[in-house]
Amino acid sequence: MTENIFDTASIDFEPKRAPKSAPRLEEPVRGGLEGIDQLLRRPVWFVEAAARHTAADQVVRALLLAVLLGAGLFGASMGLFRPGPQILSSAIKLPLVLLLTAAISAPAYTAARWAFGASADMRQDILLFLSTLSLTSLVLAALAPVVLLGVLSGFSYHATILAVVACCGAAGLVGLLAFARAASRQPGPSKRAALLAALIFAVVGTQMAWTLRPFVARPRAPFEVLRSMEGGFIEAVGTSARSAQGDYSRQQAPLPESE
Amino acid sequence: MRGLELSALYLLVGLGVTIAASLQARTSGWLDAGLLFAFWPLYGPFLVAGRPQPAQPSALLMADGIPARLEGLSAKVSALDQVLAQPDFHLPAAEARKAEHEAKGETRASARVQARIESILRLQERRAQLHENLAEARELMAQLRVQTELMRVSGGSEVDTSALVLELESRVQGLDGLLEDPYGGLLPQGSPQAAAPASPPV
Repeated sequence: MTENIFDTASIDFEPKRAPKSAPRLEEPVRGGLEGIDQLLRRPVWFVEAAARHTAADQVVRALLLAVLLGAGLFGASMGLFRPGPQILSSAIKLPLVLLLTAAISAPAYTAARWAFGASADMRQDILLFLSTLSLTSLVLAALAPVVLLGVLSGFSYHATILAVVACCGAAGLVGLLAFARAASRQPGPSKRAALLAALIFAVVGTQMAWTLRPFVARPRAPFEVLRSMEGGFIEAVGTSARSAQGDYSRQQAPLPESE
Repeated sequence: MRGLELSALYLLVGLGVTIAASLQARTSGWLDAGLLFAFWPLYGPFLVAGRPQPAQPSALLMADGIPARLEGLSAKVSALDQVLAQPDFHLPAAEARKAEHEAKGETRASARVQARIESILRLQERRAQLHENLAEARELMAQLRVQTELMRVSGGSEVDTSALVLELESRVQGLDGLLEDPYGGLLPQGSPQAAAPASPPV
């Protein structure tokens, strides 16, 4: 006879709190729009489950397209600050920043996991990065109307930059939290590797965005797909700090040739 | 190396990878080829390395002990059925009791019985959910057996059962999750019954 493991003596027939919802059944990660739907509905589960997925080329394709479309939409809304070719330029460059940064950071994460003694599987780590970036891109797409509204209602250049930074910060935070939760569930000592990966992603991403700038064109500057290198991001921060104290390295801001 | 040269090298490698993948029929269209060309460090490991061979379902089943786990879960669901068969859990009796209290104007006692009725209803709902999930897992199991046989007859090349095994594994995990708290939050926090063993000994 079956042993009765359910002792009813302790059942409290006076519920003191709302009933917990039953755990949802696990379902396989899917590709295409279904996969995007899963990512939006259950982001942390998706990021974690996608990293465990074994036959994942369809999932990867869907995630790549989500990044291209989501970040592209946000890039286009940024570029709209100065209508024209800048819209297309920003729409192409912003997804490139995210994906090229992931291409550099994911192998570094795999190497870090391996160095810290955890089992390393680059495909799983790429999936982890891509899922996180897709989520970030979809949040960016959702925030694109905020920037669009600002631009259309006549925000100044600096106000637009601030709005863009706030939106990117919010989306990045969502992605970072999902990444941290999914990485912490990976087997082995993953915390240090995840921390290192986040740091690498931040540094590489910052430099990548700096290299591929401008995304929001300065009002008086001529259109350019890529601005001249002018050193790196860290160097530019130093220059800006000196400029803020009145120590300018050039006489005036660049003007378009026609002016 | 300057940015332009680095970009050219990146695109050259991408072109090589895309041509190699197309020649081996790894790409399924222009979209695949375009994504591989532009993002070969991310997409390449999945397309060029190819999909893993479908695992032998019988081996997977034996390794994961899914049949044994299903039996264990089935025993737990039967035990919950026994609990709900006890007199205290008889819904019509509780409703009759509530009507008695209401007829006598005993509002507080009536409210207590109403709370019990709601708890019984939740338990019944949970039991129905468990039965449905268990039935679905059993059907998946049967389907897997049929597909295994089909795979054996067809020489193993026509039927990919890996997705089915993955789904079955997910269903069993979901059942485990449901049985972690079979009373659906009715037990006080910290009581020993609140955390029933998630997996039976197999």
